[in-house]
Amino acid sequence: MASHHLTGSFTYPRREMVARSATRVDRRTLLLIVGLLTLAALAGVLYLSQAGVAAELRYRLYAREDEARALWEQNLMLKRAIADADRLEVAEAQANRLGMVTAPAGGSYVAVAVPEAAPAVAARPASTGQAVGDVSYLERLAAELGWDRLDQILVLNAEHH
Amino acid sequence: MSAEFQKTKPSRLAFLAIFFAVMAAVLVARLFYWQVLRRDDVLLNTPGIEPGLGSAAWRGSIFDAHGHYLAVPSLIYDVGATPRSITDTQEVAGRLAPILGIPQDQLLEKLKQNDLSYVSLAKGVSADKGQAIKALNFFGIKLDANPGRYYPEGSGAATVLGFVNSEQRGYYGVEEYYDSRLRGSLTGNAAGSPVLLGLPIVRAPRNGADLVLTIDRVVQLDAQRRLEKALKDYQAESGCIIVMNPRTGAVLAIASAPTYDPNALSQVSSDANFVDQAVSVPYEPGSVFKMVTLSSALDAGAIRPEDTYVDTGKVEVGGRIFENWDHRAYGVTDMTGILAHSLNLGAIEVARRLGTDRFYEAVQRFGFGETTGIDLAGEVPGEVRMPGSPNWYPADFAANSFGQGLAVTPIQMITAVAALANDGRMMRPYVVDHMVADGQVIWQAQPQMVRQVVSPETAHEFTDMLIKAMPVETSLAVVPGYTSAGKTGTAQIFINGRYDDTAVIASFAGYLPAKDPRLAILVKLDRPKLQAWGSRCAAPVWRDLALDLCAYLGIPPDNAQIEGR
Repeated sequence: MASHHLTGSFTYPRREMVARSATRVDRRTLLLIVGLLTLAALAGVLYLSQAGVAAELRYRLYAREDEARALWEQNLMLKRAIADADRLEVAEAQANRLGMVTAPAGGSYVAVAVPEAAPAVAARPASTGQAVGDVSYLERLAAELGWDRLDQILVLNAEHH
Repeated sequence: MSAEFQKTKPSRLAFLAIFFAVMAAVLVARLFYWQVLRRDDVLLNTPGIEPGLGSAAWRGSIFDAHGHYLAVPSLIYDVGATPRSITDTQEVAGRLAPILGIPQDQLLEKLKQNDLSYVSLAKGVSADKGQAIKALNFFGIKLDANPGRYYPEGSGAATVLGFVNSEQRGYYGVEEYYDSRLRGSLTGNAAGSPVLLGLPIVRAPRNGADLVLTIDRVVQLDAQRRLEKALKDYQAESGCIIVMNPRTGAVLAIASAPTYDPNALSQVSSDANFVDQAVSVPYEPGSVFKMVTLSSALDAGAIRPEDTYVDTGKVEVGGRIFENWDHRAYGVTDMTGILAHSLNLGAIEVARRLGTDRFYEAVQRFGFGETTGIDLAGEVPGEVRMPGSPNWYPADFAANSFGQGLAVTPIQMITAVAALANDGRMMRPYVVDHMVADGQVIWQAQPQMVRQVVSPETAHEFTDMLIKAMPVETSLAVVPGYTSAGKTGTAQIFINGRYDDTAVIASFAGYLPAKDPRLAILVKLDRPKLQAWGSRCAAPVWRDLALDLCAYLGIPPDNAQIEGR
């Protein structure tokens, strides 16, 4: 320890002999500044880290928005397609294709049909030798509605005055 | 400061500071790299991201009473190009021209403007065409999607529905009346907001509510077709048909002509086509109004059905001479005869027996002079000059009794007639049955009685009078198999200070089945040239439509029989 003191006394000039530097700070102040800088750096790192995460998530958000946009467009296109297919004109054209005709104004018409017991088409015996697949759509529909039992159809007779 | 802190070497602190500074520099560099250097790449790799639209809410749909689409949100596209990015302009122009409907030369001219970074090729392109262009996948062709609106039934229900403009703002009809409900709320979008300490808040978009109408599209389209056919058959200029459920006030159809295709607004020749004749255009109802006069007098006890008066063919009121429509004198006539022969002098006589005050009270009670409150944009109250007002003259009292000298809207007229069908209870007409948002019914319309205009007994008694009178007045309104009650109207039009004998408004209003009314229908034709009488042109349209609707709605005929096996 003595040699240290000795060396010190030779290496550095005595305090009272040298003018104090204007930029020199004492150890406590230095520690305080470094501490503050460290805190600031930590805060900065935290902020930048957050910002980095935010930027990355933003990029992903853009991608998701793009997906959402594509789905949004598809959804609207589907809505339009459904609306188009459901148009009354389309239904009329389909009815015409099925052989339906415009009801005559006035006169008698079948208003209600009440099947005795709705027979399932598949359960019907193929006594005619005709496979189920050979039955036309209209025939199957009529059978499902029970319209093959004409004797049970109730006719509302709308007579002319 | 602690002793331990005091012992800390400055070199270590400096090392820590340098370490953190380096780390911060790395992060800053990374941010700089993505946010500045690679910014364009990031944006280019996510094409089409624009604030608002990517996650925009859409406008609610409109359905008819049975859930069929009447209006749906759709897409329209703005098509543009970056000319310098397009190498084969000939091919691009050649493929786009037929889709866009633009001459190829015009497109070529635009695509050759290499000094421009962007040129607009077409705006408001339909979704179908937009998708077709997208499928071509041309580099340098840009499609900007915007919200649009599609009306699948075209002009079939246009005046009831209204339309939306390019900013998705509703105009006319349901679109305007329920604009705030139909609109969705836009999302708070992340794009463009600064990166601070946290992520930007992105709110989920809220789609607009869907509306389910009381309008039945089959009834609506049938009424619209019948109206357009009538306009053609009788060479009428315009007209409207209203079909209402008298029990509830629910409107099943409002056909109006001329009309327009809301999918092709640019082709609409006149703004007048947008106007709903049923709620926005008042007219002088003519003899249809006699139903109001006679039923009110009956209700007040001023007349009985069997009462008579002597029809002399002419009467003077307030210094003005009034005559019957055929200038004839009918002699001793009972009250049903007034309806059967549509006698103006009879209506004046009944109004006199009722008295001025009670007559105008009844006019107000039936809702004339005020809006009905129907949920359609642009409803007007019409005009009824009341005694005491500066422009009211004693002669008006006589003219008003048979439906001249006052202006009512078709919706007011059918609401009044429907009240007679509904035991004297006048219902507020409405077209929206309920609203749906997020799959839940958020609002349900309830039939709303406005007031009792006549007693149930009077309503029944008056219906009996109409049943007797209608076949006499016009057999063309008789619906086979159904008893119906109604009245014709042929009103002269007031032009340049006088009533024009050649320009009339022909109408027919009535309800059926008369004893248990399910439908109240008004047919109005403006200025028919081939048939100038409501009994000749409006009545058969009314009958044909009524017959259609009875079959469609399954309303059994009065004499329905069930045939056994």
